[in-house]
Amino acid sequence: MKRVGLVALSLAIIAAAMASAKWGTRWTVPQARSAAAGYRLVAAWDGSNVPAGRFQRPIGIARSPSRDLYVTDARQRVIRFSPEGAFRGQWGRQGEGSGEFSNAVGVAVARDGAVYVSDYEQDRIQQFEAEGRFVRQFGSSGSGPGQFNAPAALAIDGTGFMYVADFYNHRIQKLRDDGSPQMVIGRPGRIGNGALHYPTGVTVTPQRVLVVADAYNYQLQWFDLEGTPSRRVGYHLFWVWPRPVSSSAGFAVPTDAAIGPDGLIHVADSGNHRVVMLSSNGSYVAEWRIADADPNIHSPEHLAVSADGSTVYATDLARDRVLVLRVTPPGSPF
Amino acid sequence: MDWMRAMSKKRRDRSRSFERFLLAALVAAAAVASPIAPLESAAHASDGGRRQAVITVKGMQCPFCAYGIKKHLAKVPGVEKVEVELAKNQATVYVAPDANVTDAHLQRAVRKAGFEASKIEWR
Repeated sequence: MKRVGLVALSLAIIAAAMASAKWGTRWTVPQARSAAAGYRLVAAWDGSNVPAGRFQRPIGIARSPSRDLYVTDARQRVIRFSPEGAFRGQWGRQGEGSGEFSNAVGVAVARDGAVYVSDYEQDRIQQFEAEGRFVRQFGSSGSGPGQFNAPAALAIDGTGFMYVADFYNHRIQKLRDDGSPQMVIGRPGRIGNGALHYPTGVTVTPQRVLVVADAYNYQLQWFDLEGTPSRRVGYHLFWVWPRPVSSSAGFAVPTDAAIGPDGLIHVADSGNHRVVMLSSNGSYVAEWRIADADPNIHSPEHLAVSADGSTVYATDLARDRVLVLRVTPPGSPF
Repeated sequence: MDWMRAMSKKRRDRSRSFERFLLAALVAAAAVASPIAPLESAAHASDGGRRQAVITVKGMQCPFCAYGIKKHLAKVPGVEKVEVELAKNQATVYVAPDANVTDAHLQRAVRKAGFEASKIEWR
């Protein structure tokens, strides 16, 4: 009887903790959601129009203010495309010099068109002009301020601060526009607000909120730009059991989020091989699954959304392509 | 009453022996099933001048993790090149001929990346 009582008490504590959002809240499904909301696959770019060779394991993607897209891939290059997929240029090669990479992963574009690329192995970030001319670099290996251990993703806010998802340091680093460290956001951990476990994606909303893809806590976390955690959405409490591999109510390794001008949040739920649409408050709206996903590789990895919010671009590393999805937001006519 | 106490003691002893047996069996099973045990025994495989090691890492489905494994393996002194094959859950390391790279070194690197190597095969 004692054991039964203990189990019941534990369950009650867990339920109370969940209800009080101590461990965050799982997403909610709005009662009056639009049946029309969703995604439609309109194109899959394989990079065959790139003179130096088609995509090989594309992973990073970012949209510039001029609407162009920048994609990083395993050929250690950055490729620039028009929004329609026309090739606009590329740079980069294997190496450790300026404009060279060991593993180009994260990419972000500032308001002035400057392109920043993170190197997952060299633990540095390189800045380029929009056409690829090298400008400077910053960062080194380590866990101190301004140091990285596998920088997986980058985002830049409207005032020029950069946010780096520092994968093995389990944190987000906020850097000034000269690359010097400003502050650390989040802390390593599995439970509680602000705890991060292998973050892989980061984005800043038009409302100046930082959204972090906290991949191995199976959740998205919201922070203000000064680093105070404010909200969590997705799957978290039962990260030990059961794994939400096919769950329709939680994430399995969400690796990135992109926010449209309408506030809609698009999530790369890589372990479930899908893109999930959330409302600005984190409620589930719709999803789209990769029909021919490789079950052995998590995908999609990173996302970018067009300036008008009508299109989401997703890197599908497993199939060496960029998926182009047309967005139908909630409230659209059938 | 003495016989009752004796019976109870006997039962406790038997229960303790069973627990000890169970624990020993579990430890033995863990030693056999552990991915580390066979790896340690193969630690001298590189002494023969073999230059490629194929490491199987279960659960290496996420590219960020696979690249993390690649990064940590590349830092092992003597490792010249690392390739990861996500679909096969495998990493291949190319080792300099005179380098003393053991299974233990590779296992440690994989562990630092947050994983366990379930098999290391030298070629």
